[in-house]
Amino acid sequence: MQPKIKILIVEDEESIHKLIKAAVSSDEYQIISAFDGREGIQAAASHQPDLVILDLGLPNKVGFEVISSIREWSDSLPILILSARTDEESKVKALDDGANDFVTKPFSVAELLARVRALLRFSKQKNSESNELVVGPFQLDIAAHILKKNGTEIHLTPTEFKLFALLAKNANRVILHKQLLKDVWGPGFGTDVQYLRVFMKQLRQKVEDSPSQPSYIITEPGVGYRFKLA
Amino acid sequence: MKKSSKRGRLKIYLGMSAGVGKTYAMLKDAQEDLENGTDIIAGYIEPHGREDTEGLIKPFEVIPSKEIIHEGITLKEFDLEASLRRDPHTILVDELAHTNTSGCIHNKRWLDIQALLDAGINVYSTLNIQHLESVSELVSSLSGITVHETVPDSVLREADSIEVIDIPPEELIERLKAGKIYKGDKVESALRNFFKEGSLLALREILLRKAAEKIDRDVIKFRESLAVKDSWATSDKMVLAVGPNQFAKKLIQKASRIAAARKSSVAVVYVQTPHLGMLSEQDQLLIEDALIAAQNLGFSIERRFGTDIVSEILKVAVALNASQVIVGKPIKNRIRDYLFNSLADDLVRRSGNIDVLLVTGDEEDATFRPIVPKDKRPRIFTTLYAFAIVALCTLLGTFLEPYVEIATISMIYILGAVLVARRSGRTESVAAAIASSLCLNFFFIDPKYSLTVHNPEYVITLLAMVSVSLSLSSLVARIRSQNQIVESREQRTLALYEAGRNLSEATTQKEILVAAQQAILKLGKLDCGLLVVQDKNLKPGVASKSLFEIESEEFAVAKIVMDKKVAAGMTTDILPGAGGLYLPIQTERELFGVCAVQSEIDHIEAEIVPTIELILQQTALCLERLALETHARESQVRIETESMRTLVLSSVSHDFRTPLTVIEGAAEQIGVATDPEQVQEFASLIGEHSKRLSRLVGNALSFAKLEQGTPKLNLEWESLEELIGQALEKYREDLTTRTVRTDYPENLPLVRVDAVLLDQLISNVIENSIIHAKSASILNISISFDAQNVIIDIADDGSGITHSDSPSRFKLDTDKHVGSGLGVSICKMIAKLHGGKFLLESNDYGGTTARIFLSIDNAAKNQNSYSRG
Repeated sequence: MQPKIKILIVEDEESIHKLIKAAVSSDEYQIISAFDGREGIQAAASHQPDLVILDLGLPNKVGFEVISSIREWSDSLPILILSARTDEESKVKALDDGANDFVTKPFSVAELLARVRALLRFSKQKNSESNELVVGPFQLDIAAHILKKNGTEIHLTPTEFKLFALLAKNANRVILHKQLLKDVWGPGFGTDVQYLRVFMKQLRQKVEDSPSQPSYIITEPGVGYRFKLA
Repeated sequence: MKKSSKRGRLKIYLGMSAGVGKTYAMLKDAQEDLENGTDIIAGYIEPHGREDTEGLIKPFEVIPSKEIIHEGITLKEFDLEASLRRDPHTILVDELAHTNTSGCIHNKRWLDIQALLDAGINVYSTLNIQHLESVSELVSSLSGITVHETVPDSVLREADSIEVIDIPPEELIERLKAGKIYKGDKVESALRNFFKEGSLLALREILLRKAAEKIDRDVIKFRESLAVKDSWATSDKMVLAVGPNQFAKKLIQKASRIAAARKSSVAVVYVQTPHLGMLSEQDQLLIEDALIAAQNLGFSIERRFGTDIVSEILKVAVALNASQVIVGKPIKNRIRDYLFNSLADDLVRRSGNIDVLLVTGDEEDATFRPIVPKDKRPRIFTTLYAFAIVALCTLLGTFLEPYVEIATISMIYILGAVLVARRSGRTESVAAAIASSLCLNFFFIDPKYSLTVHNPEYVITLLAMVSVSLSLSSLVARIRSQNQIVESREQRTLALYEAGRNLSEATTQKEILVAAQQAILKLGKLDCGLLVVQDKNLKPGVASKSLFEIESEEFAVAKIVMDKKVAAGMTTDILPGAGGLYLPIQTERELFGVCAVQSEIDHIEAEIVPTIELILQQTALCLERLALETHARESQVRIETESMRTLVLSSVSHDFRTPLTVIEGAAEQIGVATDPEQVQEFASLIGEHSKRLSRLVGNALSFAKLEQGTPKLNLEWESLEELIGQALEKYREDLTTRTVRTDYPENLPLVRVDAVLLDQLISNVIENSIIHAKSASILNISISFDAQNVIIDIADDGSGITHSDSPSRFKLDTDKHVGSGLGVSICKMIAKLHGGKFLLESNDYGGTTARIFLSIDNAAKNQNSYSRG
């Protein structure tokens, strides 16, 4: 029998623990609960979870400290942030510090689980890096720079392809503006978000069914972009 | 004892000379106060090495003297700052008339004492009568000793109480001889000079008279305070005319005594004539000094300009309804008076029903001595010019001699004299006139080539010529100098006029300050910088032209101006050693800043200071106007937000109730329901209303956040298309029943906005439409832009929103539709934060269009440059 996937929830609200516990099927996941920052750090070290769901507004130790403490001994443990609405700055900071994705409160449990699955898949994928990638209707040949949508080839410029590939590889995960600029254009382009906007527009024209109402490449206002996979 | 917050009380121990026991009496009184529990300390006591005095100081807390090293000598001075810090109930400060060393805040101790009184501290001080400004001159003429240290009469006049320390002169002399006042050889010199019995008697008389006057005045004040009006209440006015000479100060002091005796007020009139405009610096200083002294005596000052001194004086007298004019009495120079009429004669003749009082003058009637204008052109050049003209006339005369008469030739010389007068000073003109007459005599009048004259007719010709050229040249010179005065006055008037015009046009603080500076610079030979008060500190307002930076020391002077609200620096009593003049920019209510003026030549001409003050007055009024406007605008905004807040809060509480009721009810029903379909229905109800509640909470939070003040906008170049796109994606499921159309221009620029806030704005609009226009079948989103704005239109065809855009609509709305009040006000706030606006309008589809205007300034103009690579 396959071992259960261990998820550590660090959150001071008991009802949210309850809700998540009730929502996940118990033969697939094992939930470990921690109610404040210190407990969270200890549990992360002693239980070796496969994923951490972390509330940023915690008593005892703030969420950021939990992130940096975990990142001290593990680069690969996925961390999903729960944060309050309209607090983009702290979201970006958490992602910068090493968190992998975020869900804004209030959230639907279904959405949370979709993110959890995306993170778990991604952490598996890392181990088996392949040239071929299939996301939704898209097929990517990374080495050959070929993108097909429902079998039809879409011509992309090298920059557009790099952008699309980066988002697709991290499907359902948010990628910061900064990260996109650095990975696609190189470290010199730091904060020049305008490039990104222009290229995103071009990219959407080519890959979206309806470019002005995009359904794949989604903007996270003030944070970055996310490739949405239903 | 509790101190009052009012001005402190001043008690002066007044004596006729040193050694009468003023300090002793003061200390005795103070001791009594101390025993009564008053917080009384010694600020400064002149020791003089007198033992009994020293013994008396012992019980008091003493403020240590400030030590100032001046030219290698360590001087002890009263420490004003330390005393103010200590803030006692009463402080003893000896020697009211003392002059402070440079390096102290004030140059006179009486100013220190004013500061103490202003701070609400009571002061006991001592004063010898000879130091009183109005008697100092008298004392020096009596005793032969010049009194340098003077105190304005107003200090004594305004003292709350005085105590006269009076001992008979014989006794004083005895005490002096006994070595009780001075030590050793000083006694001898004192006895020879100041302490002669005659002098002391005179001083004692003055002392007692002054004291009586003071008491008299206090009685009057008391009567007035009881509203017993008598003949003195409408006090009689006198006008004193002074001119620029050493006599002026003496006249002022004399007038002060006369005025005090008659209980009348004095206006000092100084008429500036064209001649006086060319005054030497020394004379200029003399008159300014005298006028300052007059001001200190509490006289008003009237500066007039004109050629006719008498008529100007009389104009002032009539205007002030004065009963009497005082002028200096001419003593010598009778011949000139006989010939030309003295000013006094003229005044007497023309004064009508105003009395003219002539008071004794000095050795010479110098009151209105005409001043020989100083010539600014190099002498050699003008002298050469004068003689060249004379030579030319002679040459011309030689040519014309055979054809014309001598009288005609003399006319040529007169013409020459006029030419000389036009360009040169008086000396040259006189010289040229004399040279002309000599030439005429020598070259043209028989016997030729000699200076003798045979024909008496020619004597008359010569005399006439000399007198005509003399009066002509003096006339021309006068006109010229008058022109100069007019010019400089015009310059001042122009500066004032311009200041008025520019200030009235200025709408910002910066513009006002620049206008003021420009006007002051117009006065010429000046540099000027303006400092403004910000957070109770001085900050640079407008920098000076280039000439001077307000350095640390100078800055301290400016600070004093700010704190004391009086002028300081050059030409004033406070820190006259400073490099510039510092004037307050203030109205009666508030001080707005400090104006620093420095001259390009080394002194500031006293006559332009009133003009600068006038300009600053206007400036202050403008700044006050601006401050009031800003204040009014701010309170208007405050009222608006306040009413909005009330409106929104009342609607929020209502809004919350609906979803809460539904959720609570549905949850209850699930508990008892048996039909799984019913359960499903309740669950979806709970879901829907939870979302609504969550949206409300979100909006309430952002409202609170936006309300707290201007939030820091996280501006970034954003694509509106993208932001709208993701909002549509968010509500994809809710919009399945509608046709969503988007219409964006091809060349839509990026805009610099806060993505999160704009997302909230757009999402709010879409959500509103989803919730309130349930019947709607379309959602049209279009973007357009013109020269000013980028406009986002979001339109539906549902009967959504009441069609008016007044704040009162919110109430209506919130009754009808859940949460729209809060939503709409948040939309408005966000649009406003981005320099735009938010409107709701009814549209052709029968629905509502939300219009979001964003300033085009936020848009990227040449977006193509980003499209490459």
